[in-house]
Amino acid sequence: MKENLNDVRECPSFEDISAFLDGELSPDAPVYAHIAACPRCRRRLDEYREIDARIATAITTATPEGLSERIKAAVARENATIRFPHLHRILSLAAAFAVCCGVVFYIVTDKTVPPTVPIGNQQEVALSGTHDDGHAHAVASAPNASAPADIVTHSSPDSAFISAGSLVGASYGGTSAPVFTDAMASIDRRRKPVDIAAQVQQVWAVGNTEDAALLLTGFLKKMHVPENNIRLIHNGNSLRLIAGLTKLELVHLVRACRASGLELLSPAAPQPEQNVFTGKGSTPIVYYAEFVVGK
Amino acid sequence: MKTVTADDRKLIAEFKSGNKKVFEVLVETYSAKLFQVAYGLLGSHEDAEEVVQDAFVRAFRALDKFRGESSLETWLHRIVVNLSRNRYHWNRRRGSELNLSISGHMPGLDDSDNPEDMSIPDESQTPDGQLENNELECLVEKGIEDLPDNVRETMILRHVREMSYDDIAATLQCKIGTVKSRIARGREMLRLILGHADPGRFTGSKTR
Repeated sequence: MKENLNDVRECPSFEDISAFLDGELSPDAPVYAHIAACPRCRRRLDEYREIDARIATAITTATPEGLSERIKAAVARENATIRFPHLHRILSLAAAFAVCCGVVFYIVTDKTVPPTVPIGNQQEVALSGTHDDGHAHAVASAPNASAPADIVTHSSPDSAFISAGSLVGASYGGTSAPVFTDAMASIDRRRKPVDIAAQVQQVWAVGNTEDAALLLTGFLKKMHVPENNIRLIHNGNSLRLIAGLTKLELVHLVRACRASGLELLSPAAPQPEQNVFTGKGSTPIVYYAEFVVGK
Repeated sequence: MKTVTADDRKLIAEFKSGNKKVFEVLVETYSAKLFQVAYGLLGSHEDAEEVVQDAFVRAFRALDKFRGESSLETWLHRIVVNLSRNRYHWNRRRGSELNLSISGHMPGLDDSDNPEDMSIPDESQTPDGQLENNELECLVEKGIEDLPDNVRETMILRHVREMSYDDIAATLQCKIGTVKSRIARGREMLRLILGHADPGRFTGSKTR
């Protein structure tokens, strides 16, 4: 009995208790006898066990289906590169050539767009491309630049006509003359630069929150937005998204949501049809969105 | 410590003789296990898969030169831990550039010039309030994330793979005593974090 009391007084270090829990101590180590007799050490042991259980919950996940196959495919590609060391260089050159052809084609076809003039110090970025890749179109941004005539301000009427026509063809599937005027007005509205605030709050109407959550997760993943930047909170009949995005990512997300049938109820910018905004596409913003069921 | 096994030797010999297909055995055997380790370290499916894929590609390139100083399993784990560490810090840097203050103060939120911006109820401005029920889970996740690299890696290898201290030491190329110390330190740090958040749950007294 006296020996047990001594053991209790001289508690082992937390390192030993931890190692005891992991079965890393010799079974005849004095710690075993001590812990059996010491309520304080047993309590500590229980706490470590609870922490271990919580860690296991936090870090365990299902292995994605097809993981091995995807890895094997990647290894096979690597093997091909090793076996045909020049293949990679040839493919790279071919890719570079294709990019050059694309750029030349873009420049040639882009002559149909009317020449434009930057206004003030603001940088305005056209969103018709997929990225903020330097193909920024400076546009006329006079406050009343809503009439089609503004398009021809810096260009001849003929070239403006061609430009608007080509845009109509691109955006509306080549609609014919009767809708041309409306389409031009619509195009002009799309080219008016909008300000996107540092914090954007919007409300969307959705069919159900589960589908919306899947949709959003898919979009954000495709855009390579880090998971740490995203919070999705289910709250009864609504779903709340809080995300750290760039302006460009936000515009793409808004467009993708609209394209998937979600209805934007909030009038806050950016609206899906707006394709020009002020500032840099890489500027970070915080996006708060509420996805509510029904309209 | 796990040394190179007879199966490892056979596989390596076949690989060196030109049968590269035998590498698929390694992928089949270890991809899921390594994925779990990477996920434990990174907390993201996408990142974990990329890291594991990269690890296998690198292993494929280097297997010809593998010296057999440890088992293939230990070697692969070491590659994954190293790549995960790089990715972890890269993510953190990118995250900080992109403004990760989602849960923090939002300057300008209350004094927006645009009344349309107030179309979402005010409660949305305190998202953390929605997460109270998961507070302890979040604390554990955050606690793991904030552990020093070497402590976190040691803890993950122990808790995900249930590796012995000996194997962890071989994987991380450190001493067994160091592993013992890191694991105890990790548990103690998490205990203090949880004890601070929920004083009734854990004792405040420290064992010496």
